[in-house]
Amino acid sequence: MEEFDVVIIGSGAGGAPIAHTLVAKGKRVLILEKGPALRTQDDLAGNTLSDFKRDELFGFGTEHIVTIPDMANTGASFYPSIVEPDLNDEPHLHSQTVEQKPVVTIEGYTAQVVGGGTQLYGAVSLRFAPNDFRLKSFNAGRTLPNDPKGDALSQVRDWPISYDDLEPYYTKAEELVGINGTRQGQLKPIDLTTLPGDPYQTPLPPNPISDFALNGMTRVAQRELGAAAPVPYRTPVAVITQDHNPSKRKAYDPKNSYINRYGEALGLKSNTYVALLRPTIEKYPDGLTLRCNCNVTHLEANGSRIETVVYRDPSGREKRVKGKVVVVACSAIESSRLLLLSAENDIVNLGKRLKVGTSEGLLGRMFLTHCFGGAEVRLKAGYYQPDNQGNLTREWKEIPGRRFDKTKSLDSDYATDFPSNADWIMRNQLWAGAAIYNNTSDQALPISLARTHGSTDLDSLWQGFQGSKELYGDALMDWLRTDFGTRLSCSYMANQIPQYDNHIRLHPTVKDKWGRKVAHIVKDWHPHDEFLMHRLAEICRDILVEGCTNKGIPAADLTVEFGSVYGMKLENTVRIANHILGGARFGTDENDSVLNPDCRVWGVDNLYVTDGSFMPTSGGANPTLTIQANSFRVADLLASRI
Amino acid sequence: MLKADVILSSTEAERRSYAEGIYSLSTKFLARDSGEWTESGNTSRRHDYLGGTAPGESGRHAEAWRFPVVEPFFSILESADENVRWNKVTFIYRHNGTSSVPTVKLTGLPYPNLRSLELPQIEDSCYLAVTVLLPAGRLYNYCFVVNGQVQPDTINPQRQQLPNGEEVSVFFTLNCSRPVLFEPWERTILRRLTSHILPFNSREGELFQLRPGSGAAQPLSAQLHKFDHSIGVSNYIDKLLAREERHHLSSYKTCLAQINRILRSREPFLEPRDIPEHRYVDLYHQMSSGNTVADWDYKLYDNPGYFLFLLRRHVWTGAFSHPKYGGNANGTGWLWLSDQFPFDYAAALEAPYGNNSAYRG
Repeated sequence: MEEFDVVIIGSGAGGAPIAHTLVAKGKRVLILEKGPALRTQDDLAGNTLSDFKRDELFGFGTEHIVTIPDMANTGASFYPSIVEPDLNDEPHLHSQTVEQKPVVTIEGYTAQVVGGGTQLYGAVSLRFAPNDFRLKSFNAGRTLPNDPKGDALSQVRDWPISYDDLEPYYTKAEELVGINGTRQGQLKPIDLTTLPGDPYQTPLPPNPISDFALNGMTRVAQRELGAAAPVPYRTPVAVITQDHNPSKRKAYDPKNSYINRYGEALGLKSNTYVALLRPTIEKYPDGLTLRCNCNVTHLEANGSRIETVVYRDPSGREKRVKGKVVVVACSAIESSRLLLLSAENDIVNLGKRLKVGTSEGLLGRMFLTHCFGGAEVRLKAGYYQPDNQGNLTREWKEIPGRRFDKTKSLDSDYATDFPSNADWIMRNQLWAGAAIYNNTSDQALPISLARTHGSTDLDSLWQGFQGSKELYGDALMDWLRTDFGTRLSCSYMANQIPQYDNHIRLHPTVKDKWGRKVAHIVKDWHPHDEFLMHRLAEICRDILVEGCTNKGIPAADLTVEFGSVYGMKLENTVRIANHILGGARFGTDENDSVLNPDCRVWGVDNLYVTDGSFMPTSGGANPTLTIQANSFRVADLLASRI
Repeated sequence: MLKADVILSSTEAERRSYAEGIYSLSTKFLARDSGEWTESGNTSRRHDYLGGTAPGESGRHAEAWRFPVVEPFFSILESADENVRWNKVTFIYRHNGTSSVPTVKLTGLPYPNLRSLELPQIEDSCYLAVTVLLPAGRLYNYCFVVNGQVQPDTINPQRQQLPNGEEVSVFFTLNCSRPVLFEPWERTILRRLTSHILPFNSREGELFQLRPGSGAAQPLSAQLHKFDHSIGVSNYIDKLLAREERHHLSSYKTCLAQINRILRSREPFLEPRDIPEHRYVDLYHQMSSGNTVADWDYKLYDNPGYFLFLLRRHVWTGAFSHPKYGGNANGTGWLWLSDQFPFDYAAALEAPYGNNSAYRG
């Protein structure tokens, strides 16, 4: 049987940094990736096309229909992109309780492709704040509003590492991945003393629509914190704006709105393939073996070591491989599922070590996403002129400065960290802080505008537009005049309260196309989550309204919506959303965590988990950069052990 | 000068890259143990939506409509206009892996040099594949000859019965404007319906066409005389229902027939193409209202509003998706939007639809 120093399952943010580091140190590494290798234009000697397209039907596919019998949404439509799983082959199920009939969901950002979720993400690459690493300590002795059972803090844990421990790896990730942004105003310190300069690349000029958000962020931060208010900064986005030497990528103008939710054809978005794996393969062709279209089905243990990784090759035939170390990094839901399936196959040994089926077992527990949501304003961009009798005609009069070409942007231009300020968090009776940033590229293209019209999540795409029977002819024109290029939104990203009952389990009857039990995500919000989300949504609303009115737009010309989790309605807050974290938290106590501080599974000598599963709390920012930084940290630990 | 031909890999590196490409086109969709929901006590096929993907193995495989795989072509030696005229088409046969590898040949393509092509095994995999360069915008028939036995492609759900009774597989290349599914009368009604939904025949649409030197750019002027009728949306729907959303074909066939009958009963002396717009709009209102539509046969189709529910999405995606899918002819939908609003679509896109110098499409 083949043997490698390290076998890594998954090529995204949790796996690629480990391969990049260990191959450079002379280790033989195999990556098994379930999805295909979709190539950029410059992958193939410059004489072909990218496998990714600037094509709205490529970003979200045509209609598929859930055929799984007896689900809550059997017969419903879904619209996966080319890299997302077909839900009828590899579904994720979701319900708020175990007893509730689940829905089949496309939520959860499962991207089956080399590069994983970093191929699809919007690339906002914020650091977590120092207090995000110590929320148990931060909340010691506090009582929180909207905590009727007094259990909001019962599963909150400090991370076993601090911000300072991770800081050098944040910097390393920022340099190697390729990120543009600015630093001043961030409440996330960087130690530049040993560096030649800040690793950030220079951001491109912002989209003019972002001026409203910049103005509002500045004003609301001063209102909330006075002289202590940090200034807004240019959002760090993992898209290169200059040639990137570590990955030998050439820069072009990336502002084209085919970034968020799209694989990027020119390699400008810094996904882990173009940023980390491709340069590694080019430099060490014998060190890194990347096997695509290979689906790991389970792990086999011998005593305290994982001995064999069992997978299906591109034809679907079973294959086996050995690794001195095995790293699981195939996204939080699938990593928990893989370990649960492996334990179920070997309940006597591996199952016992992972404590599966016992009351003290924590594998799959404390599954997390983010509390997120925000606000949106629509600027009144014009009006129909009256005729001599005062009746409205079809002659449209555009008001200058109210409509923007949102295709000329990346996902975000400005961010503010004032909601991470400890005094502000305390004063607002929140358990944790957040980052806030504006969104510029959303609904920039005509199909995305219609697809998201009235939808509340990825499972309800098109429903609003399809159901708007009044939208035809002139009414459709009116809708475009009202909505196209006039919407400005602002999002917060905040910690979700960890709860024992929020967990990944194996569904007892629904099986994937390989006959393996599928993941059932049981997730609900804590009442304090809703309190926190409502407060942060109000802040986002204030930012947009104050920013717009201060820039001369009357409040009467603004249509304002705010709320949680895209849907802008608090009733729609139970969704999985895109950032999937937790399920195998790390910690110092073997009886209170699944992983040790090095991200090794307690009780198994050579098994590590490095995707977002390790997080005990989900952080007040988008998680990818933190996952990458932690993987670089674990890679350094592994380098000294293999 | 390009011609229809096999695309070969000449070096070992190219063969390896080609093999990876075949796996990336195939594994997600074709590799599996189970094509049915057997564990739930029935044998319904995982990908057989509304019974619409019926023939062969297609309902067992994810997105069976992808096969054969049709992709844009690029050669650095050719102009953008010339590249758009050609497609890469990859034929894939998956053998069951338990018996010896069969001999599979491709037959039926209308070029002497492509009359009988062997599909070589890709490395030691279960896939046999061949890629050919074919003109875009056309319809093709083909069959596989498996160990000497002629048969349709069991994955591809598109089939056609020839006059001699033989059943063959069918596909079309990108930018295809030849009808695949709809009869002329169906196309007429569909064009009328789609044009009344879209905003293009509004006053703004008329102004766009009439404005000299405006967004109605010179190269598109040949298309503009049709602008108030269609920018290819009905053609897009024809192609969509042949492949990706085949499961909605019966809705269209049933509802277009009913609409035809009702319109003719309301305007007995006019052909549907000449029936005034208000008749279509009235019927649209009645169908979308949820109230009973006079003369609608509810036994044949019990929810006329659902048909419009589908149609609105299809119309919008047809008007503004990439022209290779059959709608948005020459990018006219995008051009119209950019005339009305700040929307520089061309800056991001490849020639000939856009002017981005780096992105090739």
